[in-house]
Amino acid sequence: MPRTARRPALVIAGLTITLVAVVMAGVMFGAVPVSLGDIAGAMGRGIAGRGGTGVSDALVLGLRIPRVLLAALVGACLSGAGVLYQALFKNALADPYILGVSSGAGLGAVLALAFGGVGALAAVLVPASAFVGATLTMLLVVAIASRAGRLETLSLLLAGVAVSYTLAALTSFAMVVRRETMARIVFWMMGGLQAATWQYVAVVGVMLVAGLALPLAYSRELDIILLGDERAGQLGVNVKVLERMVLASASLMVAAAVSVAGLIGFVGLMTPHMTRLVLGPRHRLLLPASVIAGAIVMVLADLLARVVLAPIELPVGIVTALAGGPVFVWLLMRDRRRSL
Amino acid sequence: MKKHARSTTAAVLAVLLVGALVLSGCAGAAKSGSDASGTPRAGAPTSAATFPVTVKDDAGRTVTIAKKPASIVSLAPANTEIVYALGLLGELKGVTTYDDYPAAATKLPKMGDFTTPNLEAISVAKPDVILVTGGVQADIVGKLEGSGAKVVVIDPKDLEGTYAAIEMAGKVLGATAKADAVVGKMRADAVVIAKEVAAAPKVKCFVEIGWNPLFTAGKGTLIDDLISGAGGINVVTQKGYVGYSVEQLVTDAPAVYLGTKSSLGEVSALSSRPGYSGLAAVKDGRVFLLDDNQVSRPGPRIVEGMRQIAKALHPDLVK
Repeated sequence: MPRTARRPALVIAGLTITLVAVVMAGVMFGAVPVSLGDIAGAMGRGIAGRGGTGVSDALVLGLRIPRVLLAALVGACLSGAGVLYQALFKNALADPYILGVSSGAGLGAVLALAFGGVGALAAVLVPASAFVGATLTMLLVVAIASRAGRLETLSLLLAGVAVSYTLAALTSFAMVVRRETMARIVFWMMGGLQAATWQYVAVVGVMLVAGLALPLAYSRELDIILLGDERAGQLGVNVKVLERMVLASASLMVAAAVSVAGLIGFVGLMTPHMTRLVLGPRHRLLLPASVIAGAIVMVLADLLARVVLAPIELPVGIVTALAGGPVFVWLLMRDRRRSL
Repeated sequence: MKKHARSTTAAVLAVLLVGALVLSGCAGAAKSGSDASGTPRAGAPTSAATFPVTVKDDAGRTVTIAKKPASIVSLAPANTEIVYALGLLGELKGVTTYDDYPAAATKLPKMGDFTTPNLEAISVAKPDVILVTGGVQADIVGKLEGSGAKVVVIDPKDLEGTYAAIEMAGKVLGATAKADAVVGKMRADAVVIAKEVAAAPKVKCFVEIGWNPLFTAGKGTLIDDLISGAGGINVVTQKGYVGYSVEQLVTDAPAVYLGTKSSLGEVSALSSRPGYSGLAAVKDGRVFLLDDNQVSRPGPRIVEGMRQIAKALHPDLVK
């Protein structure tokens, strides 16, 4: 008993230390070399509330730290949502975009880009509109899949896919009709963290906490859901309420991530699996561990995207998919061999 | 899975788009340059064009035109502008939905859009010559030839390539004298700009063609050529169209920030971007919008694009 009780704490502590190390690396390295002294100085001045005027201050406080933090938050959101969707759908391929959340966010962003004008206002309008699009889509899909107050996971998946395709077609249509804005739209869809500001960090941070609070409190019930709805009902879990709570929490996190960073693949689907392969399926450990692992993966991926060809930057989605795919396959094969 | 397919599509689209933005593709500009110089130019202006004529196009293909084309289809805005400059708008039977200059071109039958030409519409138009571009259109050259029309790829990569392409088009369309006049005027205009900015030191600048991710045009691009001609130095030394680090941009400290209308939209858009408040160009109010069509279309108006850039870099010297 003491052993099993201590292990989760150790795992979380280990992951947290890794995250802190990775975040520090993310702040230390970049396209432009900045000395540790300059970084410390800039941070000191930043904390004291009197930011310096030098280039390194602007670079560290204005660009690098918010970007690294936003990467961590976006990775945490996507990975946390992935765990929840996979539990809810009892489906290993369920990912943060499964309910059409991404296409909803995409259409929202595209409408803002295509018709919302340009300038300073657009910087707020685009993520806000993406968020509204994601949330409305999620509600629409749930409404379609609801029957007599119950959510059927298969209907939910199918409704999500159908709505996704329709919205994606509308997005393409908007691009064709408003051809002069096509460039902006295509770039938004590539996804990236270059627009990271402290405001984004604050907003996504709040949404991550809001999205995680309930699922963490009900992690035991999430384990039971995996046994099947009937069994969960017998064990006294109110499946109906739990499902909606999980759905809302996960979608909130995805909408937040997609709104500020565009469409970034792999992290939300694969990180929960990698964590599950290593730690097992208990949500009390799996959920927080996946959230931290998602943050680690994203910060690392963004760091690579920034430095590999510096000062050329790669779209971060390329890095997550290129590096993550093989890692996942390796874990999968290692796990098979071990269980044989 | 769906998501991966989508991000791949987005990446492919982006590559196409960057190509489309500058109306350029894969063929080398050096070819078109050497082609023009390898042909006797002296006798052309006086004698009427003699057919058959053989040219090497910007994809390195050898094309022989038997007689002066009576009908032309253009599949790129720059090509349409070239045809117009050669005084052959009357022979133009079809354009793409992207072609907006001259205004009269917008009234012509549409042969689909720039990235996906409509092969059926083109076969109905029965042109003698089809002027295509490289990159996104490279794959349809074979299909277009099947229709019986002569296909010429016009895909210059830099300023010299653009001059050469206009002269090649002049040969293909039987308007060599006019082509020489057009190119002569362009060269003269470029010399005027060079003289206007000659006395001033070169101005460091950066040009944005996409945001989040930030994309720019580096060495070996048409815009880079225009910047050099306009008395500027591009701070980006990498080759081609690349994603660029904002950190590096801030460190490069360009004195002037140029943004295309399609990407930047409005100068005020910069104020909300992280890191940009530290840019000297932003602080000094030296941010300028460029008309995409004038700085990216390798056609007769490209030197006007150079003048736009020169005005932004040297406001006191260039009118």
